[in-house]
Amino acid sequence: MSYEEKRDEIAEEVKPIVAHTMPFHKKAPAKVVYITIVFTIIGVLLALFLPTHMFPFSMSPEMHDAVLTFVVFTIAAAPVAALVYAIAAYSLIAWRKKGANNNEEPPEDGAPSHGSGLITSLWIGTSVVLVLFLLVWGMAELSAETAQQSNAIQVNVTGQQWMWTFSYPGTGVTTHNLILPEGRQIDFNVTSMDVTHGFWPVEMGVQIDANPNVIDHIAATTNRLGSFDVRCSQICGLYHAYMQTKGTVVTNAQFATWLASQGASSSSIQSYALSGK
Amino acid sequence: MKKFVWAVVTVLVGAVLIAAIGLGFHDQQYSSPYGTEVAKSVGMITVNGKQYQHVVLNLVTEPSAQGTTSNGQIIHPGGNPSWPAYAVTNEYQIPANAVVTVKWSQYDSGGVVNNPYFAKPRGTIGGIERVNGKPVTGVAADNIAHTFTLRGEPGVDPRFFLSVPGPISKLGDNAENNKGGQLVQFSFISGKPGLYVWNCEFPCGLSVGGFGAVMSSYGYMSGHMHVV
Amino acid sequence: MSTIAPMLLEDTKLEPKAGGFYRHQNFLTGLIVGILSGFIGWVVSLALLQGSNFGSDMVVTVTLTCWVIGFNAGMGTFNAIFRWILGHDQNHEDELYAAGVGQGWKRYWKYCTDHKVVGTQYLVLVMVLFGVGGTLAMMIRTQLLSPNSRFMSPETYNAIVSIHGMIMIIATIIMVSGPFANFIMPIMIGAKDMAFPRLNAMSFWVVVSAVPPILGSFFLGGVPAGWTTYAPLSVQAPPAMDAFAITICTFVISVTVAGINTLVTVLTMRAKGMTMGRLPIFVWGSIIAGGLGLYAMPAFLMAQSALITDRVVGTGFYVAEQGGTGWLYENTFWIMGHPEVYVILIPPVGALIEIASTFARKPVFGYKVMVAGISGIATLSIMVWAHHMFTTGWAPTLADPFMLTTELISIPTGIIFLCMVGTIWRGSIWTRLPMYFLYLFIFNFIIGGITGIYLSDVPADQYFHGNMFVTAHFHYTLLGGGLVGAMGAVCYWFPKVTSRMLNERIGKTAFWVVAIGIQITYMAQFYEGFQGMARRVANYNALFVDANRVSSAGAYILMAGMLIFMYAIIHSWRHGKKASANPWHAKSLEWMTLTPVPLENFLVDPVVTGHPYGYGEPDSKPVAPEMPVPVSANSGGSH
Repeated sequence: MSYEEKRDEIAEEVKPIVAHTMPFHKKAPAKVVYITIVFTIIGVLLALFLPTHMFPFSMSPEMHDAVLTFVVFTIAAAPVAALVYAIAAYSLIAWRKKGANNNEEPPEDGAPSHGSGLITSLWIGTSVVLVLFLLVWGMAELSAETAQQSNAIQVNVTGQQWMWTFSYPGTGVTTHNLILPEGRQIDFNVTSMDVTHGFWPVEMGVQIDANPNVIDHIAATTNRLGSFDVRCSQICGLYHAYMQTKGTVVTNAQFATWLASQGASSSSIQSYALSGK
Repeated sequence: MKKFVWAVVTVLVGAVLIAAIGLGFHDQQYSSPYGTEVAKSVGMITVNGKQYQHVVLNLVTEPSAQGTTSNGQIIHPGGNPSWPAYAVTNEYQIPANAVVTVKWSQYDSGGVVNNPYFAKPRGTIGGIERVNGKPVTGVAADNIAHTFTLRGEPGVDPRFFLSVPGPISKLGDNAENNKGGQLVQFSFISGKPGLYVWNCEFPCGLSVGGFGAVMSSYGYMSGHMHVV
Repeated sequence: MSTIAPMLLEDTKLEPKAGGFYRHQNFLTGLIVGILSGFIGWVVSLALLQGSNFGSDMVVTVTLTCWVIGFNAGMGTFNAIFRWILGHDQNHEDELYAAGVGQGWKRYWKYCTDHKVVGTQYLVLVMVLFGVGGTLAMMIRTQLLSPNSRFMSPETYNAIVSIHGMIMIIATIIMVSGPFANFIMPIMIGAKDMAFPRLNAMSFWVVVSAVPPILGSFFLGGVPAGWTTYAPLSVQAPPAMDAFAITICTFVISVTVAGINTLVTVLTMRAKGMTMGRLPIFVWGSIIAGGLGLYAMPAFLMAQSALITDRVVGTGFYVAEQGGTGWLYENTFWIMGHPEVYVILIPPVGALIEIASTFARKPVFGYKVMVAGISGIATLSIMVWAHHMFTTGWAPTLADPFMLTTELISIPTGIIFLCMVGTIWRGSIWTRLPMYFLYLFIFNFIIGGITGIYLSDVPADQYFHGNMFVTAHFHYTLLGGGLVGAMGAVCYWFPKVTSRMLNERIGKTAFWVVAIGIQITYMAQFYEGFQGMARRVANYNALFVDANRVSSAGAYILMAGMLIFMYAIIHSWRHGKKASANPWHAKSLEWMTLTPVPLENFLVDPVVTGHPYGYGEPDSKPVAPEMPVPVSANSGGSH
């Protein structure tokens, strides 16, 4: 093909298709709103009913907060997602180029609109409000969780490759399986002997890294009897996957008995179990 | 249509290629290239009024992975001479729900264990171990060469836990293969069937926490216990 | 005209002038010199250093550094500098040779300065890297088919997880910036080439030299620390970690060079009339991503250089016993890491906006708002890094501020969605293959975006951090968003790059398989996350087995889809229908020139008189690239 032919071909191809006065469906916005509402309802229903089937059994208010946050944020986000999906879906269904295999040539041009200040402002305004809501929610929950309670007891957590050990200060008891009394705020003082580990008592809904030469603090309140998993959430080398153990929440009386069975003196149990009260 | 046949062929060729690469990464560690040490049954035993099958398992730890054990077996084929190793194999097999007596010949040097928790036997019958026949409830935390620490794979008997320290060789820092050994003996009741993993909790490697090099390389200070 | 026209012809021959040895340099000489140089480095360092405390780390570091320098020397990266130092600079003939004139397909194996060759090289490299990363992903999903899998040992598994992560990060960083910001972007602004063509070639071949070390890590003990390689675990790791760090340092050099090149090109090489206000969104995306990369990547270089010195000479930046802290690594890493995800995402988003406008036959909704949105994301992204560190124990008092900045980022992200659906709204939608990927992006990125909100909230992050939920979240954004956008970009610019049309029937088959595969794989991983499965574990509780099997099945489907897509590309590249210059009837400048694009892109310097999205505008004029004055890119400048 000669250069001139090529040039003519380009000139031909870039010719715009004359702007088509595509009729604006007056009902389109209303239809999009309907679709949005339907999608939103689906999202809200999922948010309300799915979490109980997905999350493990909550053992602490902190875990309950995490689940609640999930539900609330999903409900808050549902209309936004629904609106985006509704606009995209409606446009595709209503305004796509019809005619099965006649897709070689482009359709007529769409409406030459460059945007709308009003809609943009509304959109940004709404997202600002939503973000503020998320932020206030998060800050409120965080401050509630970090509040020190009067009945707190201390548990020292040590991560090392690839083991967790837990000790109860003052009692001389160290264990591999975490035992906690019910209805107490537990202050975990977490540290590591080598690399970084992630202390994650799963059903307690909290986690904090175990860093060498540093003591990190995280608190969770036990509000249910039963057992839970302790996992390592930070990759820590060869046996990272095996770095897990069981935790058990028992009654205060059982807890004292257990400490005694591990060789703690009765006075130390007394002062430990009563600490903070 | 022909194009779609070729598309399917591409997928198949890709799958075969990936499978071939997968075979390259697949390792035989669980089936133990160095053989499996099976515990020998020595009859029945009664513990706490309950009767169990009684088996005996032999372990050896040597200061150098290169060389042979006292009965002439290769310690760790191709082993790094500066690395210690559990000898001959790191795959052991014991029956489930039985009393297992472990006879561990410990020849390596050592020092201070990171966490004094592992200076005491945990999960053994009576909470004791015997060092050269003498029952003890622990080894001094600065006199430890290795530990034998055992727990189940995720989901396998999560409450089972065993950890036993071994004191350093009688030759101290001049430890040599098969010389100055300490005989550590302990018994425990094995858990439910499944695969258990063991490793050493003494920092006998290099770098951070003493857990680099040998400790982070599978097969020297780590392995499996097949409970059947 | 007569002096330029012959350049069009593929069979143009240069005068066979002696150009010195450098005309004989190619990939093969690069390999030979690189291996030789690495070997010499190995022998020398082994003789000098073996037996010292950090011996093997030093040997690996020296050997691989020698490989990188040697490969680039053999490739010709340093030729121009040496010639300049020696006092005989390249003449015009040499420059033409370097641009690949008259060398046919062989120029793709050379240090070629033509931005279109570099772009094509990048495209192939990206596909290869995705192939490697995807293969490793299949290993991971195969291992996780059963709770206590016997497929791989934990050691091998950890190494594969780490290298899968890093290969994919490298591939996604260059997946659009590499091929299209090099091939298409200069044409879009009416430039003859990139501002620094030799640096452009360098940016490519430096990445190539960075790939063997990271793959070599498998033979050096494996990286056990994930792609984040948190210290001090990475200080403790086997010599594989040195190889990893060398790869990162090398790669950062490439990204930095490419970023500077992109910025300078757009700032100084635009055609007459191509004001900043008329730049296509993709060009905005490229320079913002390039600039953001310039901010972010040096932090990675710092983090990994300090890691190397910790390992080979024991500086102890990250080792607690020596007064260091892992938090230093985590901070420098995430100061890179969070902007970096936007370095990955912004270019595909820019490409998708081009696609939205072209296939909805409508101007971009809110051009300025969109540019502001992308800039806002880039600006905010440098202030959010510590949300990756909510649970590390570092500065708990900063949780609230970082929660604020992180959640603020959803505002400019919302703007991107607004502009996308706003462009589609009332459009006249042409359902060609690129448009499919736009729709898939919108679907996936909403999910990826919303799941990010939970992670930005500290109390919820206390549960989701380090959990498969995070894995699913960032795969939805980077794969479901970024890679899908890049696939859309491939489909969109395929005719310009290869001069052939992409086979849409195969392409659409691939699209559906990929789309379904993504949903199955990552929805199942969200579920694992809810259940409480930790990330990067070689073995897991039987509790998680169902979700993991579903996820693995989805991953196999996804891989099949990707292979079909690859077949569509390879088949169409070889046998596809010849493409015309502007098959999409689009309006931006890259479609205003010939296909195949001639050397220096335009036969006559274009003059731009309007914005590139003049669809539906009655006064939108046809464009004739050779029109003396003025050349209009499109509309009469109503914008």
